[in-house]
Amino acid sequence: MKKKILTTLIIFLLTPVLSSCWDQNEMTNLAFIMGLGIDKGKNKKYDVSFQIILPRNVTSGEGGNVSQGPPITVVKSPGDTLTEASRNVHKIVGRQLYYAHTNLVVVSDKVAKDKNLLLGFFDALTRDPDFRRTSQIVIAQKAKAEDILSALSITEQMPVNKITKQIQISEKVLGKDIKIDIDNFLDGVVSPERESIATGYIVIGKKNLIGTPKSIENSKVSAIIMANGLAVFRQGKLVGWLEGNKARGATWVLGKLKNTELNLDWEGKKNVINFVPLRSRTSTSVRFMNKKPIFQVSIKTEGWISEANAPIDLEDPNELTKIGGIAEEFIKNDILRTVHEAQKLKSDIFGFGEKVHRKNPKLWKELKGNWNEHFAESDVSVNVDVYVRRGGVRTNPFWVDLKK
Amino acid sequence: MSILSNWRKNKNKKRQNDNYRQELDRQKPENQVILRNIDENIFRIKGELGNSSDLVFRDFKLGSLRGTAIYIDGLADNQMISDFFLESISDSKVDSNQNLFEVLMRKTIGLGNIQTITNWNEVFDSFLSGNTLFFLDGYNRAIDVETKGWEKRAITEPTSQLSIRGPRDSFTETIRTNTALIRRRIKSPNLWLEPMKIGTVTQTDIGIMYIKGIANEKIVKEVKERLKRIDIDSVLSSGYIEQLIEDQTWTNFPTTYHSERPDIVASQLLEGRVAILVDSSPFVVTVPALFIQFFQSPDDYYSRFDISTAIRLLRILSFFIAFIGPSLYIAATTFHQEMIPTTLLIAIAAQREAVPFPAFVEAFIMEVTFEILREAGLRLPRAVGQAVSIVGALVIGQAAVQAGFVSPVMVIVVSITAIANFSTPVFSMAISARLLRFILMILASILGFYGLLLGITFIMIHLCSLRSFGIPYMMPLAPFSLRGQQDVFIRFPIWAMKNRPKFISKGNLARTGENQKPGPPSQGQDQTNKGDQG
Repeated sequence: MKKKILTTLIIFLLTPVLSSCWDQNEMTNLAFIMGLGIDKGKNKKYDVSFQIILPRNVTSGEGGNVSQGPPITVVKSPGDTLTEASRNVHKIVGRQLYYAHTNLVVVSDKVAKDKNLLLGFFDALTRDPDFRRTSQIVIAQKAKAEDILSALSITEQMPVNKITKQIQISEKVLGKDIKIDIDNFLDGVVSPERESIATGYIVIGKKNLIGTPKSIENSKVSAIIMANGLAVFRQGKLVGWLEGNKARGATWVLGKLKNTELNLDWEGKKNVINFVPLRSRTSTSVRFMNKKPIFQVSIKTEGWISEANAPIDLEDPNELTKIGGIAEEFIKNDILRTVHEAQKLKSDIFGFGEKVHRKNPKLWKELKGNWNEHFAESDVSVNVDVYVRRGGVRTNPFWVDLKK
Repeated sequence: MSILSNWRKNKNKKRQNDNYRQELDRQKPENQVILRNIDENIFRIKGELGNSSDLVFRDFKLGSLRGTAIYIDGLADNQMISDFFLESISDSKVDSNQNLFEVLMRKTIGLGNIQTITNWNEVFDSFLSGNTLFFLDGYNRAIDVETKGWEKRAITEPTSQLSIRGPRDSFTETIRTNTALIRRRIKSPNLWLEPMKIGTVTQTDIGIMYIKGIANEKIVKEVKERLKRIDIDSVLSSGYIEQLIEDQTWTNFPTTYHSERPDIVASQLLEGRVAILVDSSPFVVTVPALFIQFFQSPDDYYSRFDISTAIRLLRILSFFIAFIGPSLYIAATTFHQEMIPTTLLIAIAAQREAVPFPAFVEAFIMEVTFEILREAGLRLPRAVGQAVSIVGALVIGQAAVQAGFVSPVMVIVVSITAIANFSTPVFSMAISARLLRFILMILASILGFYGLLLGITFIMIHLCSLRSFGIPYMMPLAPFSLRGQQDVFIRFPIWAMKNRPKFISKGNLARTGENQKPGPPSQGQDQTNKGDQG
C-alpha cells in the first residue's frame, strides 16, 4: 500500500517536469494579433502588417473611462516568408505575438494579382497551431492592406470587428458581400471544380488620414473603409472584380443570399417599386448536350413590397403577380450578367464544375484539365420564381388616393 | 513513512511509562469496597478529590446514626436535595430497631432513580456526574440518588445548518436533551439507545442510537467495536469521536456526517444509519456517510421535488465552482487564451495590464486574503465583526483593485468562489473543497487544463477508493446503483422514494405503501356538488 502511494506520488510529481511549461504565458506578455495585412514588399517579398490590439484602450481597467489612445496599433515588418516577418516584428514589439484571436487577413490587390505571392503565405497560416483557419480573408482594392488594417472604426471599439461584422450583416440583408475564410479560399484555389472569391475593401475619403484619430473625430468621417465588390480569382490569382449588382448575382447563384432589395420599374417609371426578398432558395442542375454541359440555375424567392411610389392597387392579387413577374425578369438579368462576367473572366466561382463532376464523372475527367475554358463556353439558363407574399403594413400606397 | 512509524512507537513507549497513568490506576482500585466507618470513607473521598471546594458534605442524623450526603455543588440540584431528603430526614421519626439504611432508602428519600452501591469506582462516578451519595455510619454501602441538575443551555435555533421550512430546534450540550429530541420524532420501540463512557479522565457519556431492524447489524457492531477500541483521556466534543472512528485519516473528505439538527439525525436513522451522541457536544455524528449526502439539505425534503431537485443541482454546481473556479481562471488566462471569447479576452487583458503579479500569484493572494478574513470573522467579537467585514470588503473589493494589486475580474472570481463555497450545506465538505482548491490552483498554474484535469482525476480516484464503515463513499454513483438514484441528483417525489437505500440498511427496505401517488378524486366522485350550481 505504502509503495503504491509512493509510486503514484512520484509519477504525479514528475509529470510537470516531463511536459515543462511549454505554453504558459501571462496575458501581459502577449500581443493579441487581431488582423494580418499582406502587402507587396520592396526589398523582401512581403510587407506584413500586424494589427495589435491595445486592450487598455478598448475597455477600461476601472471606472469606465476609455483612454484616449487608439485601440490598435499596426506594426509593419518585411520578410520573404510570413514567419520571417512575424519574427522580425520582435524588433519593435516586446510581447509575444498571439494569433489565436486573429479574425482577419487582408491581402492587397497587388499581392493577389501575383500567383506566387498570393499562394506563398497560405501554408504558414494553415500550419501554425494557434492561427485559426476560420479567419476571414478580404482583398484591399486599390489600397494597401496596411491601410485597410489600420483604419479606425466609428461604431466598433475593435476595428477588426467592423469588417467581420459588416460582412456578416451585409451578407444577411444586402447580399453583395460574402464571408470567405481561409479554408473556403484555399478550397477554391486547390479544387479544379471551383474558383475562389473574396470580398474587396476600398478606402474612401482622404486616404492619407486613414489610421489617424482625425479620420473619425468628426461625426462626418473624413476617411473610412468600405466593402466593395467581390474579387474573382482564377487558379490562385486575382483576375477581376464583380461590383454592385454583379456581386449580388454571385451570392445568389451560390445560394448564400437570404435578403436583399430590388428597385423595379413600373409602367415606364424607373425604380419606383422596391421589392425585398425574404427567403430565397437556389438550386443548380446540369444536363449535357454533345458532351457540353448546360446549366440551369433555379431560384425560388419570396418577399414583400417595401416601397411602392406609384398608384398601384396592391389589394389586387393580379397586380402582385405582375410585380412578381417584373422582379423575376430583374433577377434573371442580374444573374445572367454575373454569369457572363464570370465566363468572361474564365473563372468558375459558382462551383459548376462540382455539379458536372457529380453528374458525369467520366466526362469530368475529360473536362477537368481545362475546365475554366469549358465553363466560359457553356450555356447557362436562369429560371426565377418570385412570389410576392405581402405589401408591408399598408395596403394601397397613398399615391392611389392622390390620384383621385 | 518510516519516520512516522518510529515516532508512533516512541509515543507508545512514552505512554506506558507515564506516571500520570499509574496514578489514575491507583485512584481507581478495582475491588476496594466501602468501609463501615463513615469518617474513614469521608476522609478518603476528601483526600482523593484534594479537598475540592465544590464538594459538599452535609451531615445529618437519622435516629441514632450519623449520616452524610455528598454532592457536587453546581452539578446536583440543591433545591431538589433540600426539598426531598434533608427536610424529610429531619422530619422523620425512626425506630432504632429498624434497619436504618432500608428506611433511608425506601421511605425518607422521595425521588425516583435510586440505587445502592458498594464499590469505590461507583462512588466517584456517582457524585461526579451530579448524583448525591448518602453514607450512613455502620453500613458498608451507600445510596446513590440521581439529582442531576446543572445549568443547561436552552434548546435554540440551529446556527450552522439553517432551513426555511424545517423545525427550529437544535441539539444542546446535554446528551439527555438530545436523545429526547430524537425520540420525540421517532416514537418507536425499535429506536435503541446504548450508553457508553469514553475518556479515562473525562468519563464522557456516549450514546449509540439506531433503529433496530432498519440499521444494518454489521454496521452497528462495527461502530460499537470502533468506539470500544478508543482509549483516550478525554472526549471534549463529538469531533474527537469522529476522528477516532473514521475509516481513513489521510483524506480531505469527511467520511462521517455530523449535524446539529434533530430532524436530520432522525432521517438518517430512518435510512438505517447509526447516530453517535456525545455529551457536551451539540453535534451528533452519523455513520456511514456518503459523498452525495453532504449535498442534501433538509429543505430538499420539505419542499416539492421539482424545486428541491433544481436547488440541489445548483448546490452541486456551486460546489464545483468553489472547487475549480480560480484554477479554471488561472488555466484559461495563462495557458488557453484561445478559449476565451475575443471580447472577453480583451476585457480581461485590459484589467490585467497593470497588475504586477502573474495570474496564479494574484489569485493566491486574493484567496489567502479571503481565507484570513473568513477565519478572523469567526473569532471576532460580534460588535467588531461588522466593522471588520466592511473593512475586508473594502480591502478586497475596492482598495486592492484601485491600488492595482489585483484585477477586478480576479475579485469577481474570488467572490463567486467564496459565495459558492457557502452553499454546501455541511461545513466539513465545504472546507475540504476550500483546501483542495489551492492544490488545483497550483496544478493549473503549472500545467493549465491538463494539470487541472490531472488533479480532478486524482481526486476522483481517491474519492472512489474511500469507504465509510465499509460502504463505498461514492455509493449510488460508483459503484452505480440505479435504485439509489432516487435521491442523488434528482430528488424523486416522496411517494416515489419507495425504498430505503439498500446499501445502507439491509432488510426492511419498504418505505411507502402501494399507490401513494396523490391525484384528483376518481370520476363520479367529484367534490363539487353539481346540483348546487344550477
